[in-house]
Formats: sequence, C-alpha cells, structure tokens
Amino acid sequence: MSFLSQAKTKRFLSVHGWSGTILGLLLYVCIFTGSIVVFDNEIGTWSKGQINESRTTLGPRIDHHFRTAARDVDRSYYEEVSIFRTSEGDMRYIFHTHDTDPETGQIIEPKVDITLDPETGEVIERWEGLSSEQPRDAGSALANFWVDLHVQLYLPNPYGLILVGVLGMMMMAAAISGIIIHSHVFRDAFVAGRGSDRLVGARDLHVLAGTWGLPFAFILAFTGAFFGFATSVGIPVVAMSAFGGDQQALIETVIGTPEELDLTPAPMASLDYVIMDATRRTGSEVSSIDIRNYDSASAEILVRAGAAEGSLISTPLAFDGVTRSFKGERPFIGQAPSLGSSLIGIMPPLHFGNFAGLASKTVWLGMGLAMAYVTATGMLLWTKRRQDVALWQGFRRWIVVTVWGLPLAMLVSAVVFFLVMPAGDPHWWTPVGFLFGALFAIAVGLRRSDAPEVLRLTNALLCLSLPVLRHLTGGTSWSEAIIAGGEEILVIDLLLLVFGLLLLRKSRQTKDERTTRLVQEPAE
Amino acid sequence: MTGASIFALIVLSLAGLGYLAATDPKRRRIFKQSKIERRPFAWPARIATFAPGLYLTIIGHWSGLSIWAGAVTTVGWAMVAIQPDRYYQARVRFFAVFQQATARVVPYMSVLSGALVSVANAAWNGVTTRVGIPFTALRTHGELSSAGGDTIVLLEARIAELEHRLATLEKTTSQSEAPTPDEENSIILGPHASKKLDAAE
Repeated sequence: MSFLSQAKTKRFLSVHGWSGTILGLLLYVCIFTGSIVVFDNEIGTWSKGQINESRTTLGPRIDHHFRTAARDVDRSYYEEVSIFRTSEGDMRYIFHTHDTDPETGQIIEPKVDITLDPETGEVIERWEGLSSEQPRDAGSALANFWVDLHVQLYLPNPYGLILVGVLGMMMMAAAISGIIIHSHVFRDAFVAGRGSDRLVGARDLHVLAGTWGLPFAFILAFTGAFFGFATSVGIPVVAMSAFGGDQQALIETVIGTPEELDLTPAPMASLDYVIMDATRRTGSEVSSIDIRNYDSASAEILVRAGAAEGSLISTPLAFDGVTRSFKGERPFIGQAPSLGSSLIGIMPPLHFGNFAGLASKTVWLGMGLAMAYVTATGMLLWTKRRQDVALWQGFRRWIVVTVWGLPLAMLVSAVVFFLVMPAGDPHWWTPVGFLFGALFAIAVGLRRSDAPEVLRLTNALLCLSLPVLRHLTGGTSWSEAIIAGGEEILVIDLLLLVFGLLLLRKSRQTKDERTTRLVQEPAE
Repeated sequence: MTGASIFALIVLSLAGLGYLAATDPKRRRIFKQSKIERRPFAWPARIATFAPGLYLTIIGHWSGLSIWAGAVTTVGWAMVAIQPDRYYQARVRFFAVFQQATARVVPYMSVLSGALVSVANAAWNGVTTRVGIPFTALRTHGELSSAGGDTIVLLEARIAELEHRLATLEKTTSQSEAPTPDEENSIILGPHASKKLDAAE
C-alpha cells in the first residue's frame, strides 16, 4: 500500500518478520498439529480400531435405561449428570459432584462413571471415585497426545496455554503487518511461485499462500489466542482487577447467581419427551444432556443438539426437570441472549471447524496446512535474505528439522503407540515415541547436508508402514471396517498410503535429477 | 440448502477464479505466455467468484458461507500456485492419452475424439483469449477436420509439448544468475528501493 513511506514499510517488514520468526518454529508446531487434530475423533477411532457402529446422537428412547442405572447410584452424586454417547456408540452416564479437598484445598470431583449398551441396557463398565484418579482410556492415548501437543505444546498448565495464546497474538501481528507491507495484494494474487531458488521464488511462494490464507489466518489466530488466554490469563486478571481476586464472584457476575435450590426429591420428567421436544425446536438431533440436581424439585435439564441448518452455533436448551416445560435457550454467558454470548459461542466452531461434519473439517484441515506452509515459507524467506549471517543459516537448519521433523515425530509416536498398545502403557510411551522421532530428526538435520531428502524419505516409509503396523497389531481390517461402516479407518489408512507414495516419489526427484532427465531425454 | 448445493457454489466460484487466473495479465507476463488484448469474461468471472458468497450471506447460511469461503481460498490458492506451463503440459498429455486410448478401443472413435479434443482446445483458447467461444471452436474444428482430423491434433500437441520442454530448459539456464542486492531489495520493497532505503537510513 503506497500510503506508507519506505521507512515505515521497512519498519513494518521488521515487525512482520520478527513476529513470525521469534517462536516461529513453535508457531509451526502449533498450527501443523492443530490442522491434524481437527480430526481428533476420527484419529481416536482409527487408533483404537473400534468402529462406531451406531449413532453419535442420543436417540429417541433413553429414559428407561437411564432411570434403571440411576437407581444404583448414591444420591450424593446427583448434583450433576452428563449423558452422551462414546465414540464406540455406547451410552455413558457420568454422575458427579463438586467438593473441596480438606487437605489441599483443591476442587475435587467425585463421580460414578457408567458405560452401558444402549440397546440392552447391560452395564459394560462402572467406575466410582475421584475424577483425577480415573484410569485413562489406553486407546485414546495417541489422539490425546496430539491434542495436548496442539493445545498446550505438551507443557504443564497454565504455561502451555499462555504460550499458545502468545503464539496466536504473534500470528495476528504477522497477518496484520503482512497486509500493510504488501503493496500489491490483489495484483499478485494470481502470481504462482516462479520455481526459482532465488529470493524472488521464495517470496512468491510466501506471498501467494499468505494472501489467500489471510482471512482465515486472522480468524484462527484470534480464536486460538482467545482459547489460550481466556482461562489461563483472562479470568484471573479480570478477577484480580475487578473482584479483588475472587474468581467465584467474577463467575457469578458473568454467568449469574444460582437460584436457591430445593433438593426435595421429586419425580423427574421423561428424558424421551424432552429429547423429542428439543429435536422439534432445533430441527436437529440431540447430542448430549446435562441434568443439574437430578431427582429433586430444582432439577434442570440442559439439552445440546446439533446446530440448526445454516447456523454455526448450537445454543443449549433448558427444560424444567420436573414439569418438562421449556425454559428457554441458555446463553454461553449471562442470563439472556447477548452479542457477547454469541461471540463466545462462535469461537469453538470457527476454531475447530466441526460445525458441518467431515466437510467443514476437511476445509479446516486444508486451511491449517496452508497456514503452516505460510509460516514455514516465511521463516525460510527471512533466513534466505540473511544467508551471509551464520546465525541465520543455523536457524535455517532448525527450520528444516522442524518442518520435516514434526510430522516424522508424530508418525513415530503413532508407531510406538501401536507397538505398545497390546501390552504396555500407551499414555507413557506415545510421548516417548515422539521424543525419539524428534531426536532422530534433530540428529539428521544438524549432521547431514541432505537432511530434507533423508527426512522426507523417512516420513514416506513411516506413512507406508503405519497402516500395515496397525493391522498387524490387531487393528480392524479394511473388510471389517467396510462392513461395519468404519470409513474413518479406511480413509486414514488410504491417506497415509497416498502421502507415503507421493513423498517417496518426491524424494527420488531432486531438482538436479529432473533437469538432467529433461536434458538427456531424446526426442521421439 | 444441501451439501450438494454448497459444493456447486464452490465449483462455480472456482471456475470464475480459474478464468481470472488464466487470463491475469501479470501472471501471463511472468510466465511468458502470449499477451491477450482483452478479457471478455472478466466481469462474469468476478461475479461467479463472489456471488455465491454474497448469496449465502443474504440467506444467512453461515455454516455454508464458512465452508464456501474456506474451500474457495484454500483450493483457489492451490489452483493459482500451480504454474501455467504445468496446466498446459497436463492438458496436452491428457488429450494425447485420450485420443490414443479411444483410437485403440474403437477405431472410428478416433475421429470423434479428435473432434472433441480440437473443440476443447479451441474452446479453452476462445474462453481465455477471444470473444466468441462457439464460433472459435467451430472454426478451429472445421480447419482441422478439412486438413486431416486427429493426426494433425496429435502432431500439434506433440510440437507444443516439445516447445514447452525447450522453454523450460531455457528458463532453467537463465535462472542460474544470482540477483544483485539492488534487485533483491526491489523484489521485497518495490522499485527504487535502494535509494529510498538509503534515504531512510
């Protein structure tokens, strides 16, 4: 934009470059893993090898089995009940209450967790105790690890969240300064990379991807920064500045003061009726139910259904737990619908891209990978302009290590997950596998001049071996997956094979080889 | 609105983008394609690109709008990121394979496939560089048919492919020269950058 003087442009160029380069490697990790874990449920199903044969929504008749299960649960757990389906299609009831540990003063959550067959009502699993002591599901270790890597870079709370929030802010700074410094956004929108090793080639690649991805870079960065900062910094800071550090007072002000409760036992309304009513009102199927103060005069049923046709947000509906009368929509914050509540509600779908099933997830995956590409090419451009400085050449090596090493380490973590799944503790070994992969990538990247080729080839071999390994370690076969409708397993396996073959092909075609072949190939 | 309708709107926008990219003057200049005098379908293409988004906004279909915007920017970027000569190469190869395959299966089909290829080629050229698609297509097809049909098209495709290879080789050779610092500054900051940078410092 020509309204800026050259000196100002140069200053903005520095802001753009430094905001993308400082912590740029971590930003790349955050964006790349974020793109992959858009499919966290599908990855969970694929890695577990268990097929979701039935629906993810609750279905019309759940009341009878729920009441039968609730009778065996002590009333002290009736404060809150969550009802939903597991990724395997089983029904899960979590009866839980909130308490304070008298020794540590920490908030604890005693619970009774019941999983049962939705058809027969037979209890598959029952667990009682503190939430923090509940054994983790071994099959979800891989998906959980990758999600943790994205959400908090596998760092302890709240440092990971804060760091990811900072990364989101830096991405926004890079996006805004990028618009300001690039004087020909529209004129260059159709200029492909010139396929040159020179600076102009690197610049073309970065500018083109950045121009097209700009709107979503801003959205993903803003929502990501929100999720990073909201709970780790936002609530404590606002509580400190406006409520003298009393977070409970802040929450009551924002969410509203709870009504005085009447815990006298009272017959509960039929959940089947409530589901039917909610389905009629929203036009979509109910995905989960939360009951507060179950089996009492103050019982309230919160129903979550899928977003209505064309909408991004699905607002929970509140019903009276005894009279089953509709109490209205329950906003995300406050007691009445507001712009703030809508803005809060729109954050998750815009960040996770989960509002329209596989279609929206696929688009979000593409956008995420495009952003990762922008980050990587931006850092490479920055170092290319400083190729006379040894420090930046060292940094360039680390870019190669991160760009190729991150997928490699993730693939190694998956390999280790499948190897230890039948016997060991995948929650411990999966991160260890990632560490091994990362160390290998670092060793190759820092020692070998042909590191990109070696890492690309290793990635290719890992992609090709994972479906085979999954099958050999007892995973669902393709025929079983097709019969039972487990498309996720088939699709992820096929994607890995396709990526593996593409990388294998690419790794054999270095630029020099291509040129030589063109020169030497005789005309027919 | 069904998923298929949203998909159709995405395809419409991408078609518009495809035209705009194929006829973009700067892109054509940089990749040494022939200069075109006018872009007869530039405005219809712009409308095709943006109208679906406007329509989804007007009817308040926010989820559709998000998917449309995400898909158009991501796939649009991927479309634009591919160099024009790659498309050209792919088109030539596809037509050659198509004709050879049809000629092998049913001999008389080669005449029909030759006609199809020439019409498609002419239509592409007509859309991107000339005004009248149907007339251009018919004229080109007529010329080719009278001169010997599919054999000429095949030879033409082969010559174009060889010319393209020669151009690629020439480009590779010319790229080996490194730019001067002034050139690099002008790439990043625009023309006369060095003078202005000196003044700023």
